[in-house]
Amino acid sequence: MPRSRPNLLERQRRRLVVPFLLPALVLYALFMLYPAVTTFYVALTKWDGVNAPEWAGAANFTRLTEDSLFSSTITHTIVFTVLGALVLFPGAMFFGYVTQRMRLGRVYRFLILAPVALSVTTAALLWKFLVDPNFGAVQSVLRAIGLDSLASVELLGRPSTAMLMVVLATVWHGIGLWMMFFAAAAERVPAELKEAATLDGASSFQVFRHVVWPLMWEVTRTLLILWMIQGLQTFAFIIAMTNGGPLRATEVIGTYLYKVAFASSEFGYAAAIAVVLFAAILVLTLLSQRLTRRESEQY
Amino acid sequence: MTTPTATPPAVAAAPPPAPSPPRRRPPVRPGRMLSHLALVSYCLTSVSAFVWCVMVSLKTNPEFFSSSPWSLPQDPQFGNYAEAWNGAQISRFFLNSLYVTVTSVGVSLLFAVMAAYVLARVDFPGKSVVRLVFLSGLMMPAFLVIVPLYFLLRNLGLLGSLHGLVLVYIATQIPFSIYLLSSFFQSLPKELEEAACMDGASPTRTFFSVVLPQVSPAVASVALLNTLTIWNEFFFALVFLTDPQQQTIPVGLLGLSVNAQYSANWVQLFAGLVITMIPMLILFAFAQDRIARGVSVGALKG
Repeated sequence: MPRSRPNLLERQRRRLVVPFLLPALVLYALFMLYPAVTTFYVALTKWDGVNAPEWAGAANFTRLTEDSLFSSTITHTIVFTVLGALVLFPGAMFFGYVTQRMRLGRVYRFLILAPVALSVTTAALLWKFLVDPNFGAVQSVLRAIGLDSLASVELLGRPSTAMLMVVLATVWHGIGLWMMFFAAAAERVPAELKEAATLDGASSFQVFRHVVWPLMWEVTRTLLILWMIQGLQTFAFIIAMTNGGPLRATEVIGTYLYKVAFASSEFGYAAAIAVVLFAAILVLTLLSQRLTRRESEQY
Repeated sequence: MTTPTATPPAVAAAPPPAPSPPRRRPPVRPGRMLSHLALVSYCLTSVSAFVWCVMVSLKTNPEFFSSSPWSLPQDPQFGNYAEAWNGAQISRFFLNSLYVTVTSVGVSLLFAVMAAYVLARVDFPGKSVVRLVFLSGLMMPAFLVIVPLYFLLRNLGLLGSLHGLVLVYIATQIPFSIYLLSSFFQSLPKELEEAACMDGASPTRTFFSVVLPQVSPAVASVALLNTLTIWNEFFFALVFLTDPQQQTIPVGLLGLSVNAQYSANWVQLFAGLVITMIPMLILFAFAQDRIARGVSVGALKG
């Protein structure tokens, strides 16, 4: 009776559904879904974490619009994201593209990618100490090449340079992965196109600009949104390198939320910040999905 | 990643028995030289940052402050490492990180593989809802869950304990693991499972002895990615682990760096930094391709 064969398998498998699904579902529901949903409720309350939460309606959200500290953290977050994109994208694109057909390409890629394996704290502290005005190695290099005025600057102690330093450390840590994304995208460009252009006498930059880039732009757009989502959540490098200082010049949304919750015990207000942050991430995610869908329709 | 080295130009592939053999490599162009120059200087900076860290870790504290940052240690102090490992509790952080990573990656992977299998292979009512619920976890930032999660752990008596952190880590890894694994299950042929079923194997048995071996490469990739993520996780660990005895490496190191500012025992901190770098760099050296491939799949399709 060959017909009953798939039915038997199907019936047997159905018995797996509950025991196989339940462990993952329970843990996920309890430690992610439940807290995520509860945040929306907490955001509508005033709560010090000791007494019961008091219903506050939209008060936390109106307070957000008036909180100048919050709006400055938004500015800093945007500055971080834009500065980061300006350093990261050209760098990663360049590394990903030029290491493709090089003899030493694999060696270069390994060295560029290796910092990813370090923990964020290790990477952040390494750069924090490298630019330390008292014992930093960067300062002595600057002095050696005659840039004494720059060497005496406390790079992490000045509002004007601190954010740039955090951005550079963040990019140094993660650029290898973005290099791999771009390398993967560039490999999808048909080799014949590049060869035809090269035979016609185009320089490698011209090949990149006129053949590879138009095809890579689609991927770059998606990656830019991915970077924005990450930029909105930047946290560890700032805590480890500046802790939001000097004079709150590097305070971003994430570090502000952390301090509002766990230093000032204003949990309702912190939850409201989390809701706003989530909304921004949601918009960016939907945007990227729309872009990729349209992209796949074209092919 | 395919090796970028072995792609000769198409011209060289054609067999031209001409008197002057075609040139295999293009002449050195200024653009190429500049590329090499940029790559070499960037990589040199990275490597020297690491070398500097190792050199400092072998100095004495007075030497660290008096000598030039780039000078070699006069008398390498390997004792700094022993001191960091025992005295500064790096060993403690290390074991904590190891425990948290191994248990949470292992357990979450087991649960995720089981759930992904059912989601990919079995039809049951409400399946699309369940899948959506899991996938929604992909866009939940840690910030969204942190406040209620903190109180949940406190009420369960798990705040400050590594076990609580393990539970949270298991949950956070589940959506991404299910997402990657279920697409992999869908690409597997069904014949082997049907044959096992005909031979009278129970579905559980079929799963563990027929299905799992087939997906082990994918499971290994996911395990590697999750290991990297959890080993380096900072935010949850910072919020939940308040007791220095119960901290993982990323948070513990931060505490050490704050202490070093008061005790001025910098060399010990640097030895600690180097100790935490070594195992991940070794793991990375062996698994570079797999990590890079897995990450790009996760990012580009997600």
